[in-house]
Amino acid sequence: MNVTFKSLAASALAGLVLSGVAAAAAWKHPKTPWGDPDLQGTWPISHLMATPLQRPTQYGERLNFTAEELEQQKKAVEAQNKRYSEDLAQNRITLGHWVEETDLPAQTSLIVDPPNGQLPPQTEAGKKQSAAMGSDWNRDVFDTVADFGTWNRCITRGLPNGMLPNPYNNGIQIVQAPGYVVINMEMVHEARVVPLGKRPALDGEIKQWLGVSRGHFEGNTLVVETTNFNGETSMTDVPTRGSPRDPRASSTEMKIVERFERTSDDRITYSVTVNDPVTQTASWTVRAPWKRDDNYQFFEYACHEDNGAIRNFITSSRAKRAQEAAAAAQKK
Amino acid sequence: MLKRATACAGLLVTALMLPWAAQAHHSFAAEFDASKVVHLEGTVVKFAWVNPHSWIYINVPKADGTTEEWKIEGGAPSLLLRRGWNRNSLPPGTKIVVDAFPARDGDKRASPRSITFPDGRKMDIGGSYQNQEGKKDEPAPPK
Amino acid sequence: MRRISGNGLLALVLSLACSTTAVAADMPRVAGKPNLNGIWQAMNSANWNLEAHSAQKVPSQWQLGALFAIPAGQSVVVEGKIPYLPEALEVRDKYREEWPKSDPETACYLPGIPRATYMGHPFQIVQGNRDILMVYSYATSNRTIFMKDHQEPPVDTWMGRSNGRWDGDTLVVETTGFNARAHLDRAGNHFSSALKVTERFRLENANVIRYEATLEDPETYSKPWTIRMPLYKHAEPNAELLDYKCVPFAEEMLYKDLELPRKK
Repeated sequence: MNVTFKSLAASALAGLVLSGVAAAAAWKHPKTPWGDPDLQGTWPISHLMATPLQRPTQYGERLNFTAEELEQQKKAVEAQNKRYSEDLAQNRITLGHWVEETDLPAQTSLIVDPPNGQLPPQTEAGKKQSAAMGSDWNRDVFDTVADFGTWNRCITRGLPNGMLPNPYNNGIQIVQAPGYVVINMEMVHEARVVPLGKRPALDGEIKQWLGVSRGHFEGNTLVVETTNFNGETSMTDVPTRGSPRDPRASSTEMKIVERFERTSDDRITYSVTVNDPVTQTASWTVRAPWKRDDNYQFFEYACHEDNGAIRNFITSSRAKRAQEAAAAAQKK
Repeated sequence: MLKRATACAGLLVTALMLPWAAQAHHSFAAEFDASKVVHLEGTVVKFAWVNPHSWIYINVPKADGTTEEWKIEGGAPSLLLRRGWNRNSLPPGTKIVVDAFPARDGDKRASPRSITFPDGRKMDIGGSYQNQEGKKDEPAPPK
Repeated sequence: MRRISGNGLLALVLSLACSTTAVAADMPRVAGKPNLNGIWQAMNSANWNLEAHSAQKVPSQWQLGALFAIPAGQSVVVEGKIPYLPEALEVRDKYREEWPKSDPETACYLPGIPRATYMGHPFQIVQGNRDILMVYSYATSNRTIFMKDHQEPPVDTWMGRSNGRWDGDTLVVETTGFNARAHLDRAGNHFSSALKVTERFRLENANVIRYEATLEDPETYSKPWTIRMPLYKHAEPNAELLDYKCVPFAEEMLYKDLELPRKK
């Protein structure tokens, strides 16, 4: 083939123009002044409240909705979002005052693996441990703090539960400093400090409610690995839609791996994979889009300080049992 | 859609369009008796901006001329704060009518089904809220 | 963490010797500002009592013998004593008498500001190019120092709202909006929701912050007063902030009257 100077020049020019256009269109990942990929901002996950953790079985292995299915969901979500203004218009306070507004569900489930969008089965050890865990969602007899979950007790929501959507106080904030990333969770005012780089793991004797995290960057993606859990938290909790009623036990061997991939100014793709060979037969992964909202304000969630639930549930439960016993005695 | 939170009677289920609990910190049924409703008419004493639940303290006059104080459980205050409420938004003295499910242990504590304001809403609740057409800005509350 | 060069060290020594306000020639910086990053801790008994105190027994905890007694400490109050109004002094005495029940620390409640600084637990300053985060080990409390979005808080909280700015190389933080349920120490020292705390953090060298906090509260004190103490950086390699989630430690005490079965 005869390549003339003219054709070479023309293709070079075309190449330059094309790459210039491409460069202008491609989004450049911001960096912090000290050179780390910048993920900072407020990324509340209220918009994920309508996306269930586990996939309703009618969707099978399908992660995304059809347009018609989304249209059906729209009515329910809009009705939810209207409740507050309806309350105002009707001069009253009902549930509308206490529920967050949310978006259409992003996908059929937060869980993307296993492919059926369901939590994998537990091992026998996991089932046994779950049955022994406290929770106020699966019983109505309360006598001791051990009858309650760690969130009821205002200790922690645990992980990965703390990173899953909730009816309120869904604030997640990322703050960075040289050598660190901090994932600040509004509820229950827990700031997860993640040291970056090659730092040795902590001795296994040190076990924490939120474990111990280590982070590093793979390209521009932040990868956080967390171990050293104390095995006392539930992986999930009822208020995240599509979660099981019963606690889902975690062990001291649990390891979670999170990935934070910023894809634009306003979007991070967040994923978390939960491994726990003691309590479950396979790992599971949640992946969902995060949206930036730097106007979202955190409000102090001082939970323990006015936590009447423990006391009130116990006294109410005892009162109920006393009433039932008295009624039974009268029948005799 | 699956109804998961079937333990949550009364306020949560009847009012819910989307079937998950709003009272997320703990469930409802263990503490309150959804088979009873108390009707309380009184005035606001104070609004406690605390977590996990806010509380409206109200003075309710009784037939014998005395008053008794009730604690009405609200939700997490952050939602109100996000909608522009502040410390001045539900002032003491506001007339209030509450239909609520009473605590099982006999305490003057209740979870409301509805709260209405016979004198109209005198509270300042500036800030924006979402309606079907999009965000609508309300004037900011006076300091 | 940048190492201080030889010249920088000389300048630092000279500046320390000559003036308390001189800035180290080679001050570590992040995003142009003095680098306060690190895990810090006060080394004093201010959390027992901000004012001067002798070593003494805690009568209510006699079973713990010498494990749990109060070490001696000089006053961290610049003026020596806290200038209470008469009624407020009576309240302090009442809290002191009813200690430990009167102290929110016993229940693992949030510590408020400035107490979080000198709790005797470490805390981490996370400073990048945006708002500064202070993460306290005790009760996983934390606070954001808002460097741009200065606002009055809409409601009162345990930790208040902190608005920060740089005054030269000193971080100045003003905190208001306290619900005043926290205390200042274990000796009954307290405040009202009128409190305004103005803190100053000045990096003296890579390992020491000169910290002071001025407390103004006309409902409790007859005039403003100031505490002052150094904060020391944890220098162990790979220093790491560990949680002190104390709610489970306080539950038995909080619900003793409900006679919960003792966990084996």
